[in-house]
Amino acid sequence: MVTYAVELENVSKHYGSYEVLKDITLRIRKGEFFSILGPSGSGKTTIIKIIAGLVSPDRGCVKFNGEDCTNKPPYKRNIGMVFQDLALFPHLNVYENVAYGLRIRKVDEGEIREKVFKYLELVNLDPKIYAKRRINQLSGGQQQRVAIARALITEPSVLLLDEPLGALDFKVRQHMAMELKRIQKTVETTFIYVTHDQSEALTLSDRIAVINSGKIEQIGTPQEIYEKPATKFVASFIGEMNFISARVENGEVFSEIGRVRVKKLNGSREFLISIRPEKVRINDSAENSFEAVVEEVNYLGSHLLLKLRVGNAYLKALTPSSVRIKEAEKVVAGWNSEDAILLEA
Amino acid sequence: MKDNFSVFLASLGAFLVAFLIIPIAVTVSTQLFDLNALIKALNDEVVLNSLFNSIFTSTVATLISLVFGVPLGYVLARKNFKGKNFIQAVVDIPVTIPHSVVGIMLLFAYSEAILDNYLGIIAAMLFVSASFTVNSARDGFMSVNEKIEYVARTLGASKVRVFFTISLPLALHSIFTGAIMSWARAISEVGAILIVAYYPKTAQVLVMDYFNNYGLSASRPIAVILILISLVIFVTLRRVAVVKGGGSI
Repeated sequence: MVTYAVELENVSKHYGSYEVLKDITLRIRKGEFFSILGPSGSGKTTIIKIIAGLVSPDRGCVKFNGEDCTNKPPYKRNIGMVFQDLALFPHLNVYENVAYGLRIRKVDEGEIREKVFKYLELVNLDPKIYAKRRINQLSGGQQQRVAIARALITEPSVLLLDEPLGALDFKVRQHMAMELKRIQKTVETTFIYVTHDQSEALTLSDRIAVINSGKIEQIGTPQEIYEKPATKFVASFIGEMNFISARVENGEVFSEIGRVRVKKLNGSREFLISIRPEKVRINDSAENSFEAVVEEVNYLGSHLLLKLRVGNAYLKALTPSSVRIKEAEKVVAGWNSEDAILLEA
Repeated sequence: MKDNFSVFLASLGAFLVAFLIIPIAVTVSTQLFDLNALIKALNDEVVLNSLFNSIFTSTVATLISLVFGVPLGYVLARKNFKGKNFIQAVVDIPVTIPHSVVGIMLLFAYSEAILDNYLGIIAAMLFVSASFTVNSARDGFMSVNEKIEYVARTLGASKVRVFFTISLPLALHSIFTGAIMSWARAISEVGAILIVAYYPKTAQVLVMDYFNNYGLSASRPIAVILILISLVIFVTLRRVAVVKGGGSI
């Protein structure tokens, strides 16, 4: 039987009359980099606070390694936590920030020193240079590293990260994201990562839970989430997507842009055909082809993002920028049925 | 470029600064031309006892306000509960009540227990000064990012440990500032003390006494000593607060 690092079973939470979480069930494997992805206000931070024990669920239970810990206080859960604003202790220097968890556990000074140095090195901060520095003498990226070292030094079974890269500028954020992945692989600790940034979640995660309005929409690997979204919300939240309304009549499928072929009907009479812009073929053979007019051409460097008018509908298409296409040009746009995803209307 | 508007604002502010500093400067400088009276007052046992009484009672009142006011400040900063606004109003009310009325209220409430003794002086001082400590402690705790406390708890610290190792050290600067203001307010209190505890005499009551019985000149030496002692202690404590807090207050 698989023992999970963290399990949430039918967890619900209200703030006043507002239901923040609705019957959430999650199972996170040991050593997994698991992301909780959703827009602002979707309830993802509440989930992480419930896992940490900082907020109690109204219903349901939280298990660590199979043990029910719903009513355990945070300091007995063996977790680490990193917030977006890092929440470093401003009155302590780098060394004392990192050492805090060990001092609480009354670890002897020699071991504290050894571990502080080890974890500062793990996060690529030279202890000889940074240990005695005050927090306000560090850059955003360096503060991030201190927060991670501080959270990991107690060797928690789970590290909770609540939008930890949100306060960093773009370049540093990209670099720190890769650093997080490296650190997670090194320590093999379960990372639970809350973010609203789909590209971060896709890049870093082993699995992702997409949450919307307090409900889990889909759990899967980044590939599954991107290539086989389970709902319209997931399809639209993760990357770009074209949606075409369609209905079944006499065994044939009619969409708002004409008759189309689909791979497999899902039983619904009315549904949405979803196609990623990169799956739309321009002037190339495809099972479903339509004449289209190029309304907009947006240059993205390696690719062009086209806005195409097909009848009264619009499609977005991504094509290599080496292809020369101009606005108002007539093209043939299409897709193969295997590249389309059918979703509930 | 000359900033005329700032000059205008500074001029208005300068008026108030001058208004505040002139009485202190005139009183102290006038007394310096009559050093004999000052030296005589410093050798007067009644004066020395009254000064001791003032400093001792105001310090005790401040310590009491710290012991009970800091926890109250933490609760007001961190917890939402029914009646919180009422409690906050209760803390602020003493500032709005005339001090002679404070004395009468204290006598009605605690009667003989506080009449003409140290307890009475301390009670009067505590009543008029505690709000400074409570409000500063509350503001200090409110300025501590709650997530810092969360992190400490996830690192294995109990709520008590988080309070003493994180919240309290980070709010200490505000608490210390509030305590200084409480002490300053306590040592300047006269009205309530006159009604509750005329004896043992504090320096501020003695100044009043000398003024009523012997006139302005007789009360001035004690007033000057009280001004100088208060200023020295006040400035020293503020300097300590600045150094500890790493900023200005």
